[in-house]
Formats: sequence, C-alpha cells, structure tokens
Amino acid sequence: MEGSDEQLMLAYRGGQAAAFEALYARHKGALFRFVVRSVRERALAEELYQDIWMRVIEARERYQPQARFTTWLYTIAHNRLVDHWRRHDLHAVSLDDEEARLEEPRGNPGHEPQRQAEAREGLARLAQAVAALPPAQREAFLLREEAGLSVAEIAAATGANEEAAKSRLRYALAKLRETLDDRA
Amino acid sequence: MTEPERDAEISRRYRALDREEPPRALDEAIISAAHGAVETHPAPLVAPTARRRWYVPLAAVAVIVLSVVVTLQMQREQSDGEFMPLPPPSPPASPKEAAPAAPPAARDASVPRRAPGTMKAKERPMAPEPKPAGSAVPQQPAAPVPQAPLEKPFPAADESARPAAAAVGRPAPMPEERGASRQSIEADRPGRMAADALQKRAEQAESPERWLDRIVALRREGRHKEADEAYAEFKRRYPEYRIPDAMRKHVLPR
Repeated sequence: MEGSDEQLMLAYRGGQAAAFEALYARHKGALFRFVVRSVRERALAEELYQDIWMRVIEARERYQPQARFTTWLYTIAHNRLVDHWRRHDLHAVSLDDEEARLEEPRGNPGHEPQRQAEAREGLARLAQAVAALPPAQREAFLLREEAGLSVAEIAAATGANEEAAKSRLRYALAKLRETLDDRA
Repeated sequence: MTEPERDAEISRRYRALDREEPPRALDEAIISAAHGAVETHPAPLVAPTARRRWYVPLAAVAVIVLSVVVTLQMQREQSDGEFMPLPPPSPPASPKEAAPAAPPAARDASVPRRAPGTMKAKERPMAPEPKPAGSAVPQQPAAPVPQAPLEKPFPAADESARPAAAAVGRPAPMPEERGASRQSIEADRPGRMAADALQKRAEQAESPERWLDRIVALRREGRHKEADEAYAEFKRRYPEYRIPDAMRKHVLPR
C-alpha cells in the first residue's frame, strides 16, 4: 500500500488494516533497535516494543496529521520508555549485557575470520560507546540515527526544547568520537 | 557546511551495526491486534472532538436539572394553593380595619393576570364564587352597575373586581366550567370536607364590592330571599361599610 506515513495512518484510522501493515513494515526495524538499544534487555525490549505499537493502535482515533507520523510514533515510544524507567527506577544500564550479546557467535560465520573479527571489534566498540552514553544523550543519538528525526523533532518527541536537544546531540557525538579515536 | 549535530563517520559506523529486527511472532501479534482493533471497534471517520465527547453527559445533566426544576416548581405551586392565608375570623370594626381583608383579594387579583386557561382549580376557590345552593352566577346585567364609587374606598379591590365583572359578562358555559372546576377540586381532595372548607374560605375572602355585586345579581334574577340573606350576612360582616347611593336601591331588602 502506497502513500505517506500520515496518509497510511489516516487510512488505518478509517478502518483499513492494510495501511497499518504498510506503516508497520516501514518503521518496525528502526523502532525495535531504538527500544533494544535504549533498554539493553531483549525480552524487555520486545515487551516495550509491543506496548508501543499497541498504544499506536489504541490512539488511532486521536491521531491528527499535524506533525510527521515518525515524530508521533517516537513520542509514544519515548513516553513508554520513561514510564518504564520511572517504574523500575532504571536510568543507567550496564555494559556487560551488551558486550556479552555482541560476543555471542552469529549463526552465519564468515569466510574471512580475521576481517570479521576486526569488524566485530569495531562494531562492539561503537556499541559500547553508544551504550555508555547518558540516557538522554543516547536517546537523542538514537532518534537521530534510527528515526532520522531533526533536532526540532527530537525536541518534540522528548518534550525538551530545541537547545537542549541540540546540546544532547553534540555531547553524544563528541563522546562517541572521543571513544573511537582513543581506541583507533 | 557541516552540521555540528551530525557526524557522517559515526553515522556510517553506526549503520554498520547489526540491523536487528523484531521476531516474526511479535510482528504477527501486533498486526493481528491492529486488524482486530478495526474489525471490532472501527474508528469514526471524524475524530471525536471535546464537544462531542461531552455531548452525552451534558445532555444527561440538562435533563436531570430540568426535571428537578419542574418538580420543585410543581411542589411550590401546590403548596401555595394549600396554604393560602385565611382572612381574619371576625369582621373588622370599621372600613379602615376592613382594608386588611383586601390582601387576599389582591392576591386573588393577581391570579387572573396569568393566562386564563392556566389558572389551576385549586386556586379558584379564592375567586368569588356563589353559594353552592343556587345557580348564583349572575348573568349579563341589564343595566350597568355603577362601579366608580367603589374604586375610591377600596382601590386594591378594583383589580379583583375586574375578573368578577368579566365573569359576570360570561355567558352560560361559566357554571359548567365551575362545575368542572369543582370536580377537579374534589378529585384533588380526598374528602368532601376539604372542598367545603375551601368554599367557606372563598366566601370569607369575598370583598364587599363583590358581595354587593352578587346581591344585585340575585335581585335582578328575582331571588330576593337569597339576596336578603346575603345582605344580612353582609351587614353582619361589614356593619360600617357605606353602600354607595347608586347601588343602595339595588341592594337593600324590599
């Protein structure tokens, strides 16, 4: 089914379930990675991810295309994550799980073990660096990279002002550069 | 121009990370839920606004308030009819003292200001009413009774005289209406005693002018005995009342 995100969401609001399928296909990967890299626990991430989409389904009647659908979707995601953190008083996550997960053997081993090892090492460093960011900076970075939101849209999705969103992004990028340069 | 909030190298490296996707079972569960939502509860084509959301509760509150107001109004009117003040039991010593009897008449005068059809049966006993013994409702007078002298001693009674005059001018259906009115009173009252008490109260509340009008009407119909009795009762009730000269010959016993 073709059309912009907003058109698809309006079509779904009007009762066309196929529009939701198209919308879901477009956003499922980025949203899932955003959630997984925010909470760092796969089972929990799946639960939160499902909750976010359930909220989208429930909120379809109130949807108004005043902003991009992506901004609306990630606003819901942000609110769900904030709920989770407040409920469990979790504002920081450990790096151990990410390292362990990244070091798990993949199902499809490459033919070039040396090169694959280097690539995996580089990816692991970046993943560690992203995971080591403060939650607000990590969220801003993930919204930029996964959702493709602008600074203004990040501010809207997270309930911050634009200056704060811009500052979080700058700090996040500075720390990632520093980490990668140190280990290069 | 490089944007300070963007870093192409970091973006490139980040995109090289594992592109995780949700499990297929999760996809199916979410899509199934989305289908179920539109099949069981299709969203309205127009999103509900705040006004539409409040429409039903607001209408319910309006109906309840209206019901309460109407009920209270009915109760108030009913209690007004049941607890009208009685006139003083003993006749006043002088016409000046007779003046306090005017307020019930004034109240009576206020009743016809409503639309005539809206007057309740319970309020009618306060209006001048003939004795139940005879068809005492006077017919259209052959000669107009002079009213001017009456206006000075009892200006408040003038208002009450108007509906009486109007009643006098009404043709035959009047007694039937009164009969219907009385039936409604009896229907409202559980016993005959209550109706009689109302009748007596109405007679006691009759103003001197109406009383005299009634006597004149009785004489005009040739019912002199009843007129004499009414005159005697009038003199007993209002011994100091000065009957206007123009009316005297129509009122005095023959």
